[in-house]
Amino acid sequence: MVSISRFSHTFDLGNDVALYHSLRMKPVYLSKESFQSLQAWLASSFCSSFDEAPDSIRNEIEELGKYKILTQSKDEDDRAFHYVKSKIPQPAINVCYMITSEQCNLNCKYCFLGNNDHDKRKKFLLENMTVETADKAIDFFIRQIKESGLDYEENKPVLIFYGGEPLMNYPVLEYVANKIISLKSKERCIANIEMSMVTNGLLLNEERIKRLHELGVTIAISIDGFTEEANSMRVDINGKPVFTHILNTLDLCKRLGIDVSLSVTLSEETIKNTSDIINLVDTYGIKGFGFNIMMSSDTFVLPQSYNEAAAQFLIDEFVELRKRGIYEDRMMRKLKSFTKAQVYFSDCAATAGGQIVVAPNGQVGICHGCLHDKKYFVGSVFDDDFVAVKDPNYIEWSQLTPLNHDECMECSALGICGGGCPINAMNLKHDNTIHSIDERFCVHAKKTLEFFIEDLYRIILKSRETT
Amino acid sequence: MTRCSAILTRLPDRLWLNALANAQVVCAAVVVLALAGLFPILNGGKYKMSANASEYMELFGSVQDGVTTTARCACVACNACTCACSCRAIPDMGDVEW
Repeated sequence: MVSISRFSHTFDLGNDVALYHSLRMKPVYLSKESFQSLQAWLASSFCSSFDEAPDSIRNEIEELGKYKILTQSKDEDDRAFHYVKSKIPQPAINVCYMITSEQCNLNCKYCFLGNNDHDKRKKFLLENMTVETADKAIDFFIRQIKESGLDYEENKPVLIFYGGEPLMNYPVLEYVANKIISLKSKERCIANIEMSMVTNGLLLNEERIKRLHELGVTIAISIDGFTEEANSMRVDINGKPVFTHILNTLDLCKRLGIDVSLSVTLSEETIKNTSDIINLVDTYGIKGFGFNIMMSSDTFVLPQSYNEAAAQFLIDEFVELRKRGIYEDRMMRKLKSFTKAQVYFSDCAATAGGQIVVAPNGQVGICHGCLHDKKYFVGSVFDDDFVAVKDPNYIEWSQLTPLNHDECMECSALGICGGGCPINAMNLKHDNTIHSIDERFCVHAKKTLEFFIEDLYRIILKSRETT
Repeated sequence: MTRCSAILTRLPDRLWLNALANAQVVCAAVVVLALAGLFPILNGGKYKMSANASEYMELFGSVQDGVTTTARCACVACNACTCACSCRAIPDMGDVEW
C-alpha cells in the first residue's frame, strides 16, 4: 500500500504545501489542490501502488516517490533509515584544540568554560603549556591523524589555539605554529593543515598580528555586537567592560590589512538589534564569522524564549549577510547540508569523534567544555600507546548524533541538526547526561529548516514568474 | 442552404485562402508553444515541484566558495570543522544510492 513515510513532514505555505522527508532532504512543493487529491487517493482503496495514481496527480506521485516522501512498502522507511545510519562516520581525529593557557584575562559573564564562575575558575591550571609539552602535543596529534586512516590528499586537519585566552602564552603559540609549518613538508598527513585562533583580542599588538599572519594562523576575535550594551557581558577580571579595547584591536587589524573573523556570542542584548552586527561587519570589512547561542550552565538554565529569539536572529542576520557575500558559520553549515541533501550527523567535532583537546599539562580530552573538571580527559600526550579512535570514551562521543536518539526520529530537522552540544544537554536538567537532548538546539534546527524550505519556495516562485 | 452557408459561399476566394493560411499559422504556433511548455493548458498545467540546482544555489546569496579568512573555530561553544565548510558546491542532482 502506498503511504506517507514516517519521516515525512508537511509545511503549509499558504496556497501551496511543501512535503519533506527528513532524511532524503528534498522538499517537494504541491498546490493545495494536488495535496488534497493526494490525501483523498491515499484514503481510497486504490492505492496499492504508484501505478494506480489518478492521472491528475501522477507527476506529483512520481516526484514524491522519488524523494521517499511516499512509500510503497512497509519496510521502505526502515531500509532508508538503516542506510543513512550506515553512513555515520567512524571516529577519525582531524581537529586539535591546543590549550596554550587555561588562564584568561577576561571574566565574560556567559563563559561556557567557567571563567566567570569562581569555583570553576580556581580549578583551571595555573601553569601554561611548556615547549616540551607542545612538542609532545604536536607529535601526538600527528600520530592520531595517522591512526585515523584519513586520506592525506583530501583531508584538512585543523589546529585551533584556544584557552582560556591562548595569547596568555604567546611564545608557545608562536613556537607551535612555527613547528607545524616546518613539519608540513615532512609529514604528509598535515600537508593541508589549517591553523586558527579564537581570542578576545586584547593581547594582540601590531607585531603579533603581523607574525600570526605570516605563520598562517587565522584570527577570530570575540565580540558580541557594535555597542557597549551588546558587549556588556565581556568584562575583565575587575568587572570593567572591554568593548573599546576590542574595537581598537579591530581598527589595528584593519589598518594593517589583516582580515579577521568574528566570534559573536548572542547575548540577550545582542539579539535585540539585527542592524548592529551589519554595521560592525561593514565598518571593519569582516568577511566571515560565527554566531554562538549562549549555553546554560549547571547553575543557570536559559529560558526557551531566549532560544527562540536567538534562532530567529540567526535567520534574520543570515538574510542580510548573504546579500553582502558574508559567510556565517552557524547557518552555512546547515545550508550546505540542506542544499546537498546530505545528512549532517554532528554539529561538533567532538561528537563526530573528530577532535582532541590538549590541556597545558599534556592531558588529552574530548571536549574543551570540560576543561574545568577534566571530565573525559582520558589520555595524555606522554602516552605513546594512546589511540583516540580506539578509546571507548571517544567511540561513545562519536555516536552522539541525533540519528541515534529515539526522541529525534519524529523531528523534521533530523537531517540538518547535528545535535548541538552534549555539555549543554548535560546542564539542562539534573539527571541529564551527554546522551540527553540539547533542547536549545532543537529550536534553532527546526526554525532554520522551515526558513530554508520557505525561502526555496520563494525562489521557485520567482523563477516561475520569469519563465 | 442556411443563411450562414449562403453568406460563406459569397466570400471571395482570396479571403478564404487568407483565413486558411492564418489558421495554419495559429495551429503551428500552438503546437510550438505547447512543446515549449509555455502554454499551461496544453501541457497539463505541470507544476514545478522541486527546485533545480541553480535555485538551490540562490539560497547562498552572494557567499562565495572557500572563504579563507574565516577561522575554522569562530565559535566559543562548538564547531564542526570536520563537517562544515563554506563551499557552495552545487548539489549533486544525480541518482542517490537509496
